[in-house]
Amino acid sequence: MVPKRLSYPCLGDVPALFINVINARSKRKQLFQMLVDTGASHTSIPASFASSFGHDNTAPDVATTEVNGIGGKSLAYIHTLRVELIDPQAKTWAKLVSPWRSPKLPVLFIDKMDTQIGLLGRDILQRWSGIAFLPGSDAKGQGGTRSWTITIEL
Amino acid sequence: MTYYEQLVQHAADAMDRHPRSTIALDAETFEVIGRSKDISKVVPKMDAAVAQGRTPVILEKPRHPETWIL
Repeated sequence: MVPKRLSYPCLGDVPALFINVINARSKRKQLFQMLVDTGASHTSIPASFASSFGHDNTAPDVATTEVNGIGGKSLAYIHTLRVELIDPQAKTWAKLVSPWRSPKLPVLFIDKMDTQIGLLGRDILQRWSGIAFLPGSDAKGQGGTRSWTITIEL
Repeated sequence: MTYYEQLVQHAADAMDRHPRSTIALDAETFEVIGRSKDISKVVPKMDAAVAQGRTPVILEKPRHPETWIL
């Protein structure tokens, strides 16, 4: 079987994708930018965004855990969701058909994560056949701004 | 231009116009559903949009040039 290859242009110099984040309980779907982060073992989102995905970090039945990162230890709230790639070739919103959707996954909503985007970790990346990061041709010399294209092989 | 390319372009434009806000765009039309420096003021507008069958895009521009060390 020929693998399906999807190429996504990135916003600015951050190798991140817009993906659908789907609340597993309500099926509510929202687009959010996620850094493709091979260094993260788990997919993570800043805790401050939980309510915008229909999750409540203060609900009594929410499980928590402690995570470690560059910034040290932090509390993380665990919510269940799915993520979905969007078709990078579709011409219009009406013609979008998702080429891939994850099963329900526990995702970490991290208290001390002070970023404006989430991290797509290895718990999701390992489900794809391949990932490539292609620098754009707009490099302005060493250390200059680049654009990126992310290619995913399913 | 593909839908995804339009999404990236509209997201960049929205963040440049409102660099200190959380912004919710309608994923289909790219109209601003809501924006505020306080995300809790944007969430009810997103909830209303979802109830109408719309899909929001949530955006925030990085507050300062970021150096990623992840």
